[in-house]
Amino acid sequence: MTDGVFLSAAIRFDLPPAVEDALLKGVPMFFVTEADLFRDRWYWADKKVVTAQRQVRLAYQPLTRRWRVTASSGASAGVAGAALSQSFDSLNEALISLQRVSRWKIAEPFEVEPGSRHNVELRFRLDVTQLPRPFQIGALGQSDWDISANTFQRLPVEPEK
Amino acid sequence: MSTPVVLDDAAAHKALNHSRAVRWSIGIGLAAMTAVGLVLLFLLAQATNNQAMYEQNYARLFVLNVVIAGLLLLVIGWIAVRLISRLRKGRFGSRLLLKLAAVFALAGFVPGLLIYVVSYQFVSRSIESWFDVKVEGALEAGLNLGRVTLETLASDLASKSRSSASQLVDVPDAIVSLPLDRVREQLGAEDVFLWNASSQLIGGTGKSRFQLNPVRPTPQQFRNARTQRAMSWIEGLDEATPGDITNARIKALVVVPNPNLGFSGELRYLQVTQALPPTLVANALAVTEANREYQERALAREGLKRMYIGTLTLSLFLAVFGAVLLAVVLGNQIVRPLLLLADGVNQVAAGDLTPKAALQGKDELGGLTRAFADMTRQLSDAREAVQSSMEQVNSARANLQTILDNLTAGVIVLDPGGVILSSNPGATRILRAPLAAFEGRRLADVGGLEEFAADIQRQFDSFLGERAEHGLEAWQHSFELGSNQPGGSAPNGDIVTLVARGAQLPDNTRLLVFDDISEIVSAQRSQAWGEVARRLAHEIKNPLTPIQLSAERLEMKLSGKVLPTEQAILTKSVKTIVDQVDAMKRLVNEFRDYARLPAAELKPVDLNALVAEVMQLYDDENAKVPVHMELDAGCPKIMGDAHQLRQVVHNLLQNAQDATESAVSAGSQPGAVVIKTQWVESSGRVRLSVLDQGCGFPENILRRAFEPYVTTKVRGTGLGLAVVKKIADEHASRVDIANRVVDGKIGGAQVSLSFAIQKTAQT
Repeated sequence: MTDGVFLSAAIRFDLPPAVEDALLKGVPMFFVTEADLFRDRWYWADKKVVTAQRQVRLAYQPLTRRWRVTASSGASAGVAGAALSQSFDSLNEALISLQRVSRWKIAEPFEVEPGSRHNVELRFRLDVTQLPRPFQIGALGQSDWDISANTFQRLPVEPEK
Repeated sequence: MSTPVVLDDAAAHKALNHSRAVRWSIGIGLAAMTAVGLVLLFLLAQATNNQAMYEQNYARLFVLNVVIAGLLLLVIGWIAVRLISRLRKGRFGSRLLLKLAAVFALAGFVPGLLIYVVSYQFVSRSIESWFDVKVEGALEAGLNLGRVTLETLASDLASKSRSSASQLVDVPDAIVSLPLDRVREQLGAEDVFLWNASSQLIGGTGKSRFQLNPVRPTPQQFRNARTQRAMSWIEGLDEATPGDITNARIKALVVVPNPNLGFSGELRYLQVTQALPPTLVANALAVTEANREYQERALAREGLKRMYIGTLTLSLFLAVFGAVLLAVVLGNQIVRPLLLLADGVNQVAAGDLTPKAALQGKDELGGLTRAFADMTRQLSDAREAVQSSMEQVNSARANLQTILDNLTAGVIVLDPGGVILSSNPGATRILRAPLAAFEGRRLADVGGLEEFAADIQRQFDSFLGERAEHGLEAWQHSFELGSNQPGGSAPNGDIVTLVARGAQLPDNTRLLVFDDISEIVSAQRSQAWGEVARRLAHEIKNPLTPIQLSAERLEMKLSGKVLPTEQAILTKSVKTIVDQVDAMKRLVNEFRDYARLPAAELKPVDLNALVAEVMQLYDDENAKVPVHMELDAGCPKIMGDAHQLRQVVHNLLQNAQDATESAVSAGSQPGAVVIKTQWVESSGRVRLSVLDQGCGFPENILRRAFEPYVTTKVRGTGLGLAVVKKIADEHASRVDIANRVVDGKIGGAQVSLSFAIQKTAQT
C-alpha cells in the first residue's frame, strides 16, 4: 500500500430544478472538488502545503438515456490526470457516485512534515465557468445555479499502515 | 478704424490664457476618454461575435466599460453640480450655459434613445424568434427516432442472440470455438463471447478475441440477463462524436439455455457485440448535438438577451454621456463670447467704460466682441468729450453766476405771467425784498412791490406790442420805488430811484435788469446845488459891499444931524443892515466854500496834534458845551489836508454842540461832547469820531444828511455835513453817521471818519 494523505468525504446536495433541466436537455455539468492542505504555523498564517483538484463531469446521453460521470484529477495532485468514466441508468445513481469521495490522495508523504499539525480545507462547487457563456450571464448571481460546499477541518495526519 | 483693444490688462490676459489651457486639457481628456470608451465598445461588440475572444475577455471588457461609464457619469455629475451651484449663486450666464447644454444633450440623447428602443425591440424579438416550437418538436422527434431505432436494433440483436444461443445448449466448454464462429457469422456480429456464471471467459471469437482481457459485462448486467433471459445495451455513444463513431456498439447478453438444469447448475452467457450502422449513428449523434445546442441556447436565451441588451444599454450610456460632455464643452465654447459680451454690456450699463476684452476668433461672435470693444471705446471717448464740454459749461455758468451775484444791478427773470424764475442778490438788495424766497411766485405777490410789478407788466406789454413795429430790442424806464406809499411817514425819506431795462429772452421769458440810481441822483443834485450856490453867491456878493458901505455912509453923514429919536432908529437900522449884510456875506462865503472847495493836498498829518490845536478854541472858557478829548496815542500819521481837516473837526464839533444845546433847551441833561481818535489795526485805518448826547438824527434826515440844505437846525445852511462829506470824499475816507441807541431810544448821534494812514510811516 502507498503512503500519503487520503481524503474521503460525502457531500450531500439536491440538484436544483434548473440544473436538472439543463442536464436532461443534454448540457453537461462540471463539479469541482478542491482540497487544500495547510500546515499550522504558530508565528504566522498557516502555510498552504498542497492543493489538489478533482473535476467531475456529469452528462446525460438522450439517445441511450444513460448518465455518465467522468472524473479527472487536476495536475496539481501529482497523479496523472487520468479520466475515469462510469455510466448509470438513473440520475440518482450518478449523483450518489458523484457525492462520494473515497480515498482521494491529496498529498504525497514527503509533502507532510511529521509531528506538526495539519488542516484540510475541502471545497466543492458547481463550476459555472465551464458552462457555455450565455449560461454564465444568465446564471450569474442566481441561486438556482449556486451549488457549493466548504469545510475546514483540523486533522492529525497518521501514517498509513 | 484702429485695431480693437484686445486686452490691456496683463492679468486678465493671463487669466484668459489659463482658463483656455484648462479648457483644452479638459476637452482633450474627455475626448480621450470617449475614444477609449468607443474602442472598448467596439471590442465588446466584436467579442460578442468572436467566440474565442469573447470567451476570454467578455467579463473584463464589460467591467472596463462599466468603469468608464461610471467615470463619465461622475464627470457629468460633477459638471451638473457645478452648473447648479453656479445657477444657485446666480452666476452670470449659467442659465444660458445650462440651456445650451440641455439642448445639445437632448439632441444627442433623443436619437440615441430612439435607436436604443428600436434595437431593444429588435434584439428581444429576434432572439425570441430563434426559438420555435416546431423546431424544438422536430429536434425532439429526431432524437426520439434515433433512440427508438437504436433500441429496436438492440432488442433485435437480443432476440437473435437468444435464438442463436440455443445452438450452444449442448456444446461443452472445450469445443465452443466452432459454434461461436458459426453464431458470429449468423448474426454478422463483430465479437461473440461465452461467459460462465462466475464471469469467466469460456471462449470467444471475433476481432477482439486476441485481446488479453476483453471488456467484461458488469455484474449488474449479468444479473439482469439472468432474470430477463436476455438483455442488450449500447456502448460507445457517450464519448462518440459525429466524426468518430468507431466505438459505437450494440451488445447483447443472453443466457444459454441449460437443459440439465439442476444437474450441473452452471449457467453460461452468450455475449454478442455488433457494430452500429455508421450513418445511423452519425445522424443520431448529429441530431443529439443539434438538440443539445438548441436546448443550450434556449436555456441561455435570457442570458443572451441580457448580454445583447446590456451591450446596447452600455453603448447608449456611453453615447449619451459623450453627448452630454460634448454638449457642455461646446456649449461653454459658444457661450463664452456671449458671456463676455453680456458681461461687457452689464459693465457699460453700470457706467464702466474701461476697454473690453475681445476674442480673436474669426467667426461672427468674435467679430461681435471686437465690434463691441470698439463701440465701448467710442462711447467712452464721446462721454469724455461730453464731460469736458459739460465742465466748460459748468465753469461758464459758475462764472456767470458769480458775475450775477456780484453785480450791483438787480437781475430778475420773469415768465410771461409775471412769475419770478430767478433773481440775483443785487435785486434783493435794491428792492429790499427777499426775492429768492419768492421764486416760483408772482412778483406782484411780494409785499410793497405790487405797483412796481404792475408798471413792469405794462412796460413789457407795450414793449411786446410795439416791438414788431419799431424793431426795439429792449425797453428802458426809470421808477421811483416807495414814492407813492400810502403809509410813508416821510415823502422824501424812503424813495429808491430805479432805472429798469427789460428784454425778452429767447425762451420767451423776460429779463428785467435794474439799478439803484438814488446815489447818482443825489450826486447830481448836490452838483447842481453847488453850481446854483456858486452863481447865487457871486450874484449876491457883488451888491453886498455897496449896500454895507452905503449904510455906513448914511449913518456917518446923518449921525448928529437928525433928531435923537430918528438918530436911534438910524443907528439901529444901519446896524441891522450891516449885521444882516455880514450874515449874508458869511452865508455867501459858505456857499462859495462848498461850491469851490479846492482839491485836497494830501500830506502826512498828525491827527492828534491837529485835534488838540483845534480844541484850543473849544476850551472850557470859550465853549458853550464842554468837549472832551480821547486821543489814541498810537495813531500813526494819516494822509490828509490839514486845512480841510480842521474844517471837518470844526463842523462836527459845531453840530455836536448845537445838538447838545437843543437837547438842553428841550429839557434834558446831556453829557459832554466827546471827540476821539482810534487806531484800528485790523483795517489799517485811523478813525476819528465825534459823539454827542443830543437829540440825534431823525430817520429821514439820516439818509440824506450829507445833501446840502438838509438840516434839523433852525438857523442852519445845511451845508456843514455836506462839506464834511465832500472833504471826506476828497480824502477817500468813509463817513459813518448813526444814532447812538441807548435803552431802545435815541441817545445822541455819532459821526465817524476813517482815514488812510501814511504808507511810508507804516512800512
